[in-house]
Amino acid sequence: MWVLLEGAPADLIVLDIMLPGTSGIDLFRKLRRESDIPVIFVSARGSEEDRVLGLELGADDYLAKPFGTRELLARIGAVLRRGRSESEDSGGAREFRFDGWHLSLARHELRTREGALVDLTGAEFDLLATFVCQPQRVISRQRLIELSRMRLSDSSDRSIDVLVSRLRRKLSDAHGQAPIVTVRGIGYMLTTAVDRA
Amino acid sequence: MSALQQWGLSARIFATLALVLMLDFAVNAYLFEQANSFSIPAQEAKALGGELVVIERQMNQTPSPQRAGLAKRLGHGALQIDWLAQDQSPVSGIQLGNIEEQLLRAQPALAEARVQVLISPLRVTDGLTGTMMLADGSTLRFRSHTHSVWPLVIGHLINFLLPTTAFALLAWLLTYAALRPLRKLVRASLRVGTRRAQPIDVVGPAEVQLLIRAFNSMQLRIDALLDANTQTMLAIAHDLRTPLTRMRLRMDTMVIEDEDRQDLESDMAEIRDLLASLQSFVELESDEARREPVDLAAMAQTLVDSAEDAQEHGERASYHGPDRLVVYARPLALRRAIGNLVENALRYGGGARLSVSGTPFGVTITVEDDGPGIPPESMDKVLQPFVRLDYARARNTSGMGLGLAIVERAVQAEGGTLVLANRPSGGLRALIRLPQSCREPLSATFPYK
Repeated sequence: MWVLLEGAPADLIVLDIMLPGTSGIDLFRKLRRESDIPVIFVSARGSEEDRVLGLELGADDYLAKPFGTRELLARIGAVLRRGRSESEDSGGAREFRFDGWHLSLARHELRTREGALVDLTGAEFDLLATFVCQPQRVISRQRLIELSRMRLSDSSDRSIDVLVSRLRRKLSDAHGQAPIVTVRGIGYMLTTAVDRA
Repeated sequence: MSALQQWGLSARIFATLALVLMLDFAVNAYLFEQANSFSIPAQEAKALGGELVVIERQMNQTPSPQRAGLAKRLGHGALQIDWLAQDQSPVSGIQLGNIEEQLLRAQPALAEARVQVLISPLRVTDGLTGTMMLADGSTLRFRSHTHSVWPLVIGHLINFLLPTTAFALLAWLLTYAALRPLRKLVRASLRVGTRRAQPIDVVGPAEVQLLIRAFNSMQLRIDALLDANTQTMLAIAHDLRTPLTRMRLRMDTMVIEDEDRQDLESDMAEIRDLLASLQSFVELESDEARREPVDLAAMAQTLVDSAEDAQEHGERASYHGPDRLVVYARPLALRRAIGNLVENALRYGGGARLSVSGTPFGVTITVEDDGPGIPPESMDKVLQPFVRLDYARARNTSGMGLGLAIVERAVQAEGGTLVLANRPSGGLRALIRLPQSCREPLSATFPYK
């Protein structure tokens, strides 16, 4: 692999965690020491812990076997695109704090101020990630729809409005107020400031 | 101590018995001696002695044939008299030498009559029993019920019963101690297969030590079997995924009919689902995840939304409950439990109504559908792993029959209960109750079933 990488620089690596002879995780650590090339982990163990482990190590995505070509391509596309936009949007941050909430891209989870885990669907998570990467900026519905289409694994064709309302319900405080507002005729905006880590 | 441990169970019980019998014998012999020193008040001794002298004299003056009748007449409430023509062996009992001497001292005339005073250990309520010999060698038997005999009787009763009771207690304690390792074994056997094997200390009688050794090795074998079973299932679930992935990737580049492709895709999806359910079933068993705060309401909404989004035929799933309800649980297990119930409701019940509510006693999670429910006779069966009802087979749905088994395991791991019931108006209601402790951060961890 090293020879191959030196010969022809790759844009992205799809790495199986369980490889004959060597552990994909060891390989990944070695790889990370040398480059920031995006990595998608592939594993036969579809368990949640593995997914978290892979993402915490710094993999860009995690795909459980079995998967199809379309899904793999979609994930690759998403990672590449994110790689490009992240550098300008979030500065590579993977942990965000806003309005008492804690969003971790690495662990793929949202927690309350008290540390309670709040489940989100895949689409909701991606939507929230988009908001926190561009806080206090209006994001057009059109752009949100485009971004949500990127995620093919979620076969939802529900409109962005439904997604936003679901997200609002989960983020709402005791008074029913959520930090996402509708900007009539344009789109939506996250109203609070975001701390990046 | 180690020499004692070599003793067998039978030897121990025998030793206990022998010890107790010997002690009982020794103490009774001592008490027998003590009986000699029992006494009655001098006045009563004098009265009884006087009476006996009078009776002896009268009997001696009476010809033999009438003696029996006379004896009856001479007797009264406190003193019964019997006349026996032959010298029968004296009534068995403990001889009260002291009282005999008292009588002799009061009435020296009785010396000739060889008075014997006894108290029968078997018939203490008879009071003092005695015999005296008449001039012609026949025997007179008397039973005295003087008041002062009662303390004697009671004292004797206590003396007689106390050691026996004490020794019975001692025997019980010794036997109890000898059998204690057995009770330990019973408690340990209740835990076999539920957690890591905890070998029992090899102590106790030889037979019990053998049993404990055999049990310990059996426990290890069972654990090894369970482990192997888990590993096998996990290996199946994992190792089939790689070839399955290759098949899918290959299929994507193959030139085949669209219809074939769809069939193949759905078959592969089914295999994937089966493997996933097998994996989650096995993983729950070895789930050592920590309990952490989880927003149950958000979890429920997410499950409902994702399940509804994934429906191809437009079945509806809905959530009723608060916007936020934090519980302390293993999120993965809880998510699977509720997810499986919602999925079942959608699949067999045509729709799912999920509701969550906090009660003073904990948290209840209910999933209702409008399907056919579960036949009452199958209620127990559905919770067993790898059991699928005919209805599910007939519907040609995929699955291994692990869904509800997973739910039950997960709920029990949280210290909760799962109740399935057919609703009066039709459809199934699955009710999960989580205990109040699931709402407190520092609740005790529940032992895994």
